[in-house]
Amino acid sequence: MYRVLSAAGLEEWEALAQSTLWRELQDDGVVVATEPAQLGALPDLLAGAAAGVLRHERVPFVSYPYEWPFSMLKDAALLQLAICRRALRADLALKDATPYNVQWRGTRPVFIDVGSFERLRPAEPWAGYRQFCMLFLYPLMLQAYKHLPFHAALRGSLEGIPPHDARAILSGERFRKGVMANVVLHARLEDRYAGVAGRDVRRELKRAGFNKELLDANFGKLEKLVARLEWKAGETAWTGYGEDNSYDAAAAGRKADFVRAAAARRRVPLAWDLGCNDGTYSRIAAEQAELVVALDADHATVEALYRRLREEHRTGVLPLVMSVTDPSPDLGWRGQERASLERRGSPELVLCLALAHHVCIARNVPVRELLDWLRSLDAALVIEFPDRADPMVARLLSGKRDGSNPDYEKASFERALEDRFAVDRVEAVTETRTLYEARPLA
Amino acid sequence: MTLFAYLDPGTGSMLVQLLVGGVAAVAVTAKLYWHRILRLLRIRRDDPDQDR
Repeated sequence: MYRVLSAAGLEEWEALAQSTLWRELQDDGVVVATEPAQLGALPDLLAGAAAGVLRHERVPFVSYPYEWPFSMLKDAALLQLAICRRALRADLALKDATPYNVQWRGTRPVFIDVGSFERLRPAEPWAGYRQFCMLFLYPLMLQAYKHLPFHAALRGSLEGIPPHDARAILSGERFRKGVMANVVLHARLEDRYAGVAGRDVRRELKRAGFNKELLDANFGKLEKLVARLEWKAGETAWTGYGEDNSYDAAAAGRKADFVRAAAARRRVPLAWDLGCNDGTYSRIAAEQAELVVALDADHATVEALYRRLREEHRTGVLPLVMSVTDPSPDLGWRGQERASLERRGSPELVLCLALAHHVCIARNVPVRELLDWLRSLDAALVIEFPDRADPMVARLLSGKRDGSNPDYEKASFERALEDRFAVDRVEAVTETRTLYEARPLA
Repeated sequence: MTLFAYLDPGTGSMLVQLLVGGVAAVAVTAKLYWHRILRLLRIRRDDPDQDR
């Protein structure tokens, strides 16, 4: 991964690279591993305008804040603020504050934007503050104070939630920590000073004595505020699923062995666990796979999984909030700034356990459509099919008219599977649930 | 992808940073307003020192 620097960018990089802070950040693993590279390493197209080039370590899998559970966004915010404070002590600053500058090694956040560092202008307020509010603080407040998931807002706008919108949602919470200053007054001042040139305000602040201590006090306050934001996730239909599902320990053991054997049979740099729930099978796949991206549509479930993985200091599982039927699309300028899930790397193994009935019955995706999509991933597949007699399936069908989703039936599922995959192994987990291990047909 | 990295901090967002820091900002805020009052009373002319 290469980063091309302009002449101005190169100067800032040199200031950073010479600081003791830089060595510390690299040694702590807090900032992505970076080294200078030769201009000759670049394709001709880029080399023309470049004053310098840096080479970065690759992060295992790119993810975005609209896919993170609450505590991931919170940890990313705390990382951003910690780096800001450390930079300040070294007379450096970060010119922006966006969670898109944070990526993950499992549950460890890594700051990836070396170009964000610049030399400190001590008499100036933090240029990144507004962005910090829009992309970190307001989304966290929405979740903590209003139980309002922030994913739709962040996916809906890559810029985040503007102060006005945050005020519209949070003004009833004005006496909660941080809301009055960071939301209500922030929106009001933005109105009031909309027509004033930034240059004038900057000059006034400078003359009034805005300084480094004040910057540090602000970072400190924000750090305390963010650290205290908690989301009491509560019980959703899914958080208790791992303990309280429809099969017993023996069946769960058979399923675990089946997944373990499938993962062991091949080299797996990347696996997807679709509908990962409490992550039981993600962990099993991670015994073999270098990285398991564990996806689930239920925020509370992914939140709980992330917290557990973080406690265990796991790096082999990346938990993300995502629905298979509504996955992250290409977003931003020409659809190229943020990539859809599939464009971020193709898996060698896909787990699709206790999921088919949710996709096909609850979300009305035809069985063949589901299998077409899974085939398009070109990966080995472990799929579980609960048939119509399964209690969970019966529950999903109970609200529908008789005869709904007629294609959801074991024999036709198996035919459709065999049309697209070579089935290597079949095993009944319970009387109503069957596991299949399959390879895509050429 | 080529990109320019300069962010407009926003004028309101700069000023609100005087309210976020709590006690540390009181002196700066007071001074900011004192300058404004002096200017309003025309005791002092607009900005002698120019911005960079």
